[in-house]
Amino acid sequence: MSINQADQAIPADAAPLLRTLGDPAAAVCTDGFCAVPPGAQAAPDSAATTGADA
Amino acid sequence: MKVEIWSDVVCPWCYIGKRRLEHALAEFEHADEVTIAWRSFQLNPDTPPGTAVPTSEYLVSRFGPQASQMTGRVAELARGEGLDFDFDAALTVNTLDAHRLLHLAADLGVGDAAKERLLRAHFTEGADLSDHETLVRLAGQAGVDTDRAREVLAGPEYADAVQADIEQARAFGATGVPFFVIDRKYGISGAQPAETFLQALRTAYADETQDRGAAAPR
Repeated sequence: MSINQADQAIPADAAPLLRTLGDPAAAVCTDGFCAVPPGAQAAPDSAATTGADA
Repeated sequence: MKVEIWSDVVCPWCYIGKRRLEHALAEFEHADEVTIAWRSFQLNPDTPPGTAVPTSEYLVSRFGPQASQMTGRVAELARGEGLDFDFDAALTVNTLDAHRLLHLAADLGVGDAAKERLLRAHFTEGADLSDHETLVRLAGQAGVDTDRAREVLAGPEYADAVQADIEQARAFGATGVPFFVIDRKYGISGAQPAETFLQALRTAYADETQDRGAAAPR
């Protein structure tokens, strides 16, 4: 696993086969482990804080 | 509506994304019209089959001391979704066989149960998802006939289906998981908040309804 964090999982130059919904910076795993992107949100009832840690 | 989800069973954001989608579906007015299809994606396809490396060691060897900080943060966010991640127990493995079993489970109508069982086994129980007896046991707990599971694992069955899923993800331009596709029209990348999934489901449903109306004979 790696800590690589893709900026987005759908490259800007990808063929527009799909209409993209949602935040393109949401957390994904690329070639392994996944970082916590800036703004990643815990559930509202969680005491977790947010923010990048990479 | 059909929601296809590309993911790997060793992908923490996939497990978190699964929970968030489930929360969205619980709020979605037309959830009874939604079918879920799990698609395969391998984050570590080059991991030698039959080897299991402690994930914590693997991450430290690759990324240094910051790895534990990273896993701690992901585990913290997972807790917010009610998930108990134990990265100290997790094992990094090649997940091809796990995916082949998931395809079998889907064919038997228990794909979602099998997916959940394998995710929990990896992230919470430290199970070796490359070990055939472990996979058979977990599949059995999800409702898969264990003799059939052994038969599949003994040969190459479903390997082509796994590869086809991975190629389809590439065709969609996906480079990471989780990756959600609704009705082959909408792509949603990553573990979005539940509210985002809910909005996407509503958008797709409204579109589908509009399309149906336009196609109806006058």
